[in-house]
Amino acid sequence: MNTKTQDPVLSVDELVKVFREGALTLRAVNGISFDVYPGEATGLVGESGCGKTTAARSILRLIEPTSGHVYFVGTDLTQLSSREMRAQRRHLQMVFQDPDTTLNPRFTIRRTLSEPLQLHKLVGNGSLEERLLQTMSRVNLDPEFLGRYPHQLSEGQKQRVGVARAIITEPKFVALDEPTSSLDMSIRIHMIALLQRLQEELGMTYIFISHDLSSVRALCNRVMVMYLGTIIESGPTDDIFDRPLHQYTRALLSAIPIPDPQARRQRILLEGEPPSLFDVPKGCAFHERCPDAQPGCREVRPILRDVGAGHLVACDRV
Amino acid sequence: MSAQTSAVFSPPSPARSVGRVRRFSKVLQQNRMLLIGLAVLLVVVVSALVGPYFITYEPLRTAPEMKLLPPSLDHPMGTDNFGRDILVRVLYGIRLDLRIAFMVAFTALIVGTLVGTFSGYYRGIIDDVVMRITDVMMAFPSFVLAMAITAMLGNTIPNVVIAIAISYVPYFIRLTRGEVLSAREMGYAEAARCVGNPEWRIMYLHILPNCLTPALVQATLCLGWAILDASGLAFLGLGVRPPIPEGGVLVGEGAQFIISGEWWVSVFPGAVIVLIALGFNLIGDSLRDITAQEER
Amino acid sequence: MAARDTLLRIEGLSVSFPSGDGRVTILDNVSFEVFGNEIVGLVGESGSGKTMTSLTVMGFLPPSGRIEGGEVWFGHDNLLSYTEEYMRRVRGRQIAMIFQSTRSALNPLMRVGDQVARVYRVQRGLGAREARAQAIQALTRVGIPDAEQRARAYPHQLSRGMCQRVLIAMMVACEPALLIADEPTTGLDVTIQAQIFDLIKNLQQAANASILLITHDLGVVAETCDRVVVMYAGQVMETATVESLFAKPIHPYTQRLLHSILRVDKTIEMPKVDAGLSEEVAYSVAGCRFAPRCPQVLPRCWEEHPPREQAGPDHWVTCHNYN
Repeated sequence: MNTKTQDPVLSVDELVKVFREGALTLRAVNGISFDVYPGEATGLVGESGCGKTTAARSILRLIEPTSGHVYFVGTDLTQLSSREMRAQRRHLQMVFQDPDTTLNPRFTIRRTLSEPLQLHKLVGNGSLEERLLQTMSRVNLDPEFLGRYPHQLSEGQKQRVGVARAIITEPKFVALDEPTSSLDMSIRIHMIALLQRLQEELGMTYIFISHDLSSVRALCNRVMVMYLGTIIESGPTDDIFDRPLHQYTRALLSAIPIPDPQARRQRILLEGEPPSLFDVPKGCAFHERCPDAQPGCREVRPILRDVGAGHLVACDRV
Repeated sequence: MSAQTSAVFSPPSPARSVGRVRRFSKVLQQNRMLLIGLAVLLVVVVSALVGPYFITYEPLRTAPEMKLLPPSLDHPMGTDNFGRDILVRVLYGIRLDLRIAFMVAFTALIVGTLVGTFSGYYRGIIDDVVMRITDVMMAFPSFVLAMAITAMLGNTIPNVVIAIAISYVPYFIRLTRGEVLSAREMGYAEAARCVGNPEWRIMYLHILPNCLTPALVQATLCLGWAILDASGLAFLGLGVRPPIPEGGVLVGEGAQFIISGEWWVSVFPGAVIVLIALGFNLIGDSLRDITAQEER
Repeated sequence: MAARDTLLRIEGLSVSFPSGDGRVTILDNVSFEVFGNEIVGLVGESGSGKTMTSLTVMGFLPPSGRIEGGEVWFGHDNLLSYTEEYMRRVRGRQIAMIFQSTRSALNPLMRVGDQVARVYRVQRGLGAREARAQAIQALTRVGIPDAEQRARAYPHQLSRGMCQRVLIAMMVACEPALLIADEPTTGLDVTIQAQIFDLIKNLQQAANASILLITHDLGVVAETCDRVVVMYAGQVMETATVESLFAKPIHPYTQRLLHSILRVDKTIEMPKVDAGLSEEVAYSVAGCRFAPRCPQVLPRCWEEHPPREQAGPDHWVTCHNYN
């Protein structure tokens, strides 16, 4: 998938999101920049509080970014009026994490799925039914479910309705927010396979937000690792997973249990817990827990540099 | 744990209309109050609709030779000061009272939920202003407020409806706003925005339908209160005036005769008012219990 | 096979719950053992009955649940025959349990140090001052820095990971012979999860106790457990040592499970997209409940319960295909 000859579908430039609660400032997203090219699936990973969920919502303007720019196929989303932004949403969709709360309990599945088509005026009266059936079969759901309500469906079925809702307008770009985290282990691979097939069928570009790195490895061709509001490492999937450079990435990967008792692991156990987002340290965000920290790390905030073959790291010790 | 067990014990099943009828009768069985309330109202409404066709007396025709006759087979509720049959006046009064009650509840419900949703969704200054206004309105006992407004506007039936509805609106605003405050944080509100819904659709088509239940229960209770309020106003000479037959008017007309022994002129209309209000209250209370249970 | 002392032996346990017009057997003839000084993983997906099994052992079965048969042997006694009063003496002292929802398991109105100290006072009969001192020691043992200061905090002031450590400290205070841990790291970050499991393992070894670890994560099983019990739809499918299970899974369900989990250390081949996502669990099948989805199903699988056969020195399978 050599996509560098084309322009990126999504280009994020110094995105910042700050929440203010009285006198306190919470720096959820502290200036991130990246590009996503057509047909790619980019993973955005990190633990709780790293800002990945806030970043995704800011990019889609579900919450308003504090500063920075988001270029979607050339258009700066941050400068659009609400009406213009709504028109863009046809191509900027999201699959949400918890299907229990993200499907309106009073809507039938049919109504939930028809709405995006009606809002963007994508169907005449005749082709609505056809489009619904086509989308249901794309996500392997029995058309019988169209007349049902969310509480009559199982977890996995509801999750697939969420996917159906996101793809029904045939968007160019889909953000996936933890789509596998509420699913059983043996089902996750099927969801990933489905998402993969849909991406190929519909030519979509994905950004996959997750703390489940095994799902990310299965689906994504690029990965970005976030810590405390900044991207600390990014690159091709195999590079990041097999040859991680940042200490945090290495600790993160080593912490994930592997279902193979024979695998000998050198586990890097981190000390303590991440500092609060209200109190982001000066210098490198990770220096307090880094086994490799030097005095300089406390002063200077490292920037993301390319160390070869598209592998970027934000660490002055590398 | 409970989430897991519910995933196990409630497998997906299609909705069947047979199931709905069966569920409704099961609900009636378990809630005696609801049953009684509905029964009472049924009796009242049916007699008010059908009764006048069986009775030959007219509510407004006076017959001075028949004045103040005690209850008998000819006049089950007796006659009043002008010789009018009280039963037929009571039945027409029920019709009027019910009309007033439904119009009040409907108006207060619509206005209150629309404003409450707007206020709860946007928060900020709009919400603050709305809350302060409702605070002021709720500082007055609703009856007193209705009295003041009726006096200002004049004694007509539409004015009574407006006055009482206005005194109820703050409660609906508060109730709906409370529900909306939590509903707006729910995932489906965010999903609705993501899909491309404009704000007004998110508010009124997505969030409000999920917040209506407490307001509907409140509306049922308001039906009962409205009757009491309307009657109370009429008794005091505000709103509906004689000779229009209405619960409070009838009680007012008969008040002076209690001491002289002609009790039936006031007591029967009064009893009917109580009965209707009781019916609505029973229904409203049991609805509140039922919906609270279902939340769990 | 060397003789080991059996700490817990569940035999033929069946539990039913009301559903619709009848009852559903949520646990069907569940049998397995936990020996001394080991960590046993109880593995299954949602609806497999793993939590229900642990609740039954502890005597926490909800009122609508009914025990249809079987015994739970702890030492020489059948726990199912105990009265509630007697179970209260067993709980905490002999068998302890930690749950998933960490914050709600702690009293929000009491400082955490006091809660741990209370365990020492109630279970070990220590005086107030001694209990406090022991509590601070326990908090340090579970890796809480500045234990003396942190002890004065309320649960909502601590992170979820810290709260879980406090709960573990309370377990340490009890010194039970058997600890049941039900998905103790749900909702915790991966790096914190690694710390917690490391801690649990160390404490188990130091105390010579046993742990029944309930989890859906096979990675956790591979790295933390000595033996593993695989459950599906309320039935036990396979029991083995961890090495044996991963090296040579015999039951079709176990095989399918191991082949379909995603790995972080290598890229997995994707299956064909089929209706593999349909997850209706069949509680009404008379025989083996995996029959509807089993690639090796035989006609008798639907009718007869498969026998429990030994397949290796410490490897048991419940499957008609193995005979």
